[in-house]
Amino acid sequence: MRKILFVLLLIPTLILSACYSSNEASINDLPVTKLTGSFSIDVNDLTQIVGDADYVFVAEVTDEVETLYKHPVTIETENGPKEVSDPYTKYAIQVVDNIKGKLKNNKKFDILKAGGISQDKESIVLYENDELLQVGKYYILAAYAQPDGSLLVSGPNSSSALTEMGKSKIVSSKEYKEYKEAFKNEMKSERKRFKSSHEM
Amino acid sequence: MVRLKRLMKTTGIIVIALLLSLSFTTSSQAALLGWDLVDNNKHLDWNSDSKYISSINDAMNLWESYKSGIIRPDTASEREDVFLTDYNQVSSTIASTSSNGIIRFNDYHYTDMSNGERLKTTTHEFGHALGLAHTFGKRDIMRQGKVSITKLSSTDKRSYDDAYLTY
Ligand SMILES: [Zn+2]
Repeated sequence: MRKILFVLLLIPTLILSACYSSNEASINDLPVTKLTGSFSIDVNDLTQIVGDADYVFVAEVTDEVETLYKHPVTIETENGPKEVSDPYTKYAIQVVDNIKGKLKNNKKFDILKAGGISQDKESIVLYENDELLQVGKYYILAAYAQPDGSLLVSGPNSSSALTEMGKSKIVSSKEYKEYKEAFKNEMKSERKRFKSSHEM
Repeated sequence: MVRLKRLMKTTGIIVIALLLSLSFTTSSQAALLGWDLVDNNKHLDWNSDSKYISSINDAMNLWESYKSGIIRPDTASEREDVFLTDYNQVSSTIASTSSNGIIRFNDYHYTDMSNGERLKTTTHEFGHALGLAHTFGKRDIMRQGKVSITKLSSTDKRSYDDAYLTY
């Protein structure tokens, strides 16, 4: 009896693990270069995440556009000098709902997220407790307007993946309500702020 | 007899819980990242093009006053283990340390920070390069936040002791 139970449990486990490994091939097999930071806010406090960001909104990620490499420095390695930059992944998004600020919701536009595949294509650079966005998924994003009007999503808890699809289901979800509540009680930080070029 | 045993068990649990909570309140737990930038000779040789060089030197001296001969400015004969540099970006990141050997100071925050805040953050990033993770004591260099701290806490020192054993 026990043996049968064991086999019955084993089969779905094997199938599941096979599915996972085939899905996660390529980019997800790369080692992670970890970024650990000092942050000006408590990144575990949603009222500070919302208060510090310029825009908080629900968006669908419609495309992964490209990876940009910024702030190059030349470091010495075993194999001589090497240029190392920080990767930023550019995504096309469609705003579904604005929680803080008013971004255009009738037109797709691009945002940058800190992290992505390294310049030498040998690792994925990511903050702790952070993940890259997936095309087709919905997220609540907390973004910072840069001096040039572009939007940056950066650091732990700056993106929250939603399981619900479609506006009506999302706005009644638990996560959405938590962000709404956090916005009501936001802890706004004193800092020089800029304006997005994608405002309504 | 059974009653006595149960009583002893309960008392034991209470005593252990009390001791545990005591150790939590007096100081936070030491913590390691699981990676560090220290080389095989137990050195952290650094090179930099940062303009915050005085904070970098002060931060090095703070760690060196506890354990000496580990953090050193890079020389021509030694390959650097960590490179310290500046960048500018509007985000909540004050500074970052990457496992590929780069510490970045964000001008957006650093420019207006006090010397004590800069010293805390620069020492904190060196702490990451030494393999230390975040801790939660109010006076810990390895805590989060834009605050002024100019001394190592006992937790910082214990984390460093633990990290040193892994070099
Ligand atoms: Zn840190």
